[in-house]
Amino acid sequence: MKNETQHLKIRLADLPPPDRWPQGEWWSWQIKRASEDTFTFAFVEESGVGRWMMLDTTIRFRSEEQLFGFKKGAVYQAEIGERTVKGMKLSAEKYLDHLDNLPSQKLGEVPFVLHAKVTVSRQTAHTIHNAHGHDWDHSQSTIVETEDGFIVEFDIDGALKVAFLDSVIGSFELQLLPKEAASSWEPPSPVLAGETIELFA
Amino acid sequence: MSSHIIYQLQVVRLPAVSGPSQDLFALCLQSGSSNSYEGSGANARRSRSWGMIYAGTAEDLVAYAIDWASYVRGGGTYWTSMGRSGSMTPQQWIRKIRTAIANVVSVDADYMDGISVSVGPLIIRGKDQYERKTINQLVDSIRALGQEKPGEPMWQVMRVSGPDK
Repeated sequence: MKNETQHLKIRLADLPPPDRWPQGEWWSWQIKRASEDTFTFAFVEESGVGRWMMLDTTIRFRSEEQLFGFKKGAVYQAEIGERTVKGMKLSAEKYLDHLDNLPSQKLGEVPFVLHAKVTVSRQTAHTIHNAHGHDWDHSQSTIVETEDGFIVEFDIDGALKVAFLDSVIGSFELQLLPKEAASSWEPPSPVLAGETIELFA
Repeated sequence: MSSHIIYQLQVVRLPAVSGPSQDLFALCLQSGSSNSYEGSGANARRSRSWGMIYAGTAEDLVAYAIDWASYVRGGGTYWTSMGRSGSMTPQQWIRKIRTAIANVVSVDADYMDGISVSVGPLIIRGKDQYERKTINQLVDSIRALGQEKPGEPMWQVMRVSGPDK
């Protein structure tokens, strides 16, 4: 049984623009899109252990499996009661309403670092370094070679990092790493069908 | 890139004739691709046909609808028309499947040994390699497919005829 006790929807609107702006219409669109992306996390408690887990992102094709996956995604788990929200069982539709209605916060406003861990196979390793004529800057990244390929890790601190996530061919997981102030931080109350969810708990 | 447009939904209950098995719920729909047309000139319209895409318990159909909801959200599936008028939320899509399950039509158990059966507005029978199988045998094939490849579409099993829209 999983219970989501806190939620955080991060929007990237305040990410600084890139120093070196790749040229071309595609890149302009990509950078603009990155500034509109959101990432939804839940603090999930299971068997007495809790951790922040990403539920959803607006980056294409990156969260469908964990959210909607056949008999394994979070929506299905909510539907059958294996996943609750603050102890409350929600139908699939109500659970999605709940996620839709979460208020978003700018990345700079939350006491967390958004950390990306990207797994790339050898066959697509070239996408780590270049896309659409642009050479990615990995001076702040950690790149580790593994038996199957490479793992690239970095903090998301700019729109180009999001554009990299959108274009690299591989899988990724995002983690919320607390800054020092995280212990005293309170997430904003989510809204469910016009009411605060606490009313239903 | 083409999208999938769904025009009509109908859930059919196929009763378990013997043994401990549960009744099977088959999700039938009339649908077509957004970029495939039939007819010409003023009579041209997007082509569409009936088919059975998935079957299982009623709960399985809801699980399938949830899985499919990612395509609804991503713009891969529309309802009756393309564009804004046909777009729907994942929640609306799941609700449509629940409504279709509530409005299920049932095959009479006495007709399960036939190779074709009329049920509600539809006529169902085996398709291609399943063409000579009885409805009961189709049910067995569907159960086997569901166990072998959970969550995978089952377009290949049943031929479905129904009203046009």
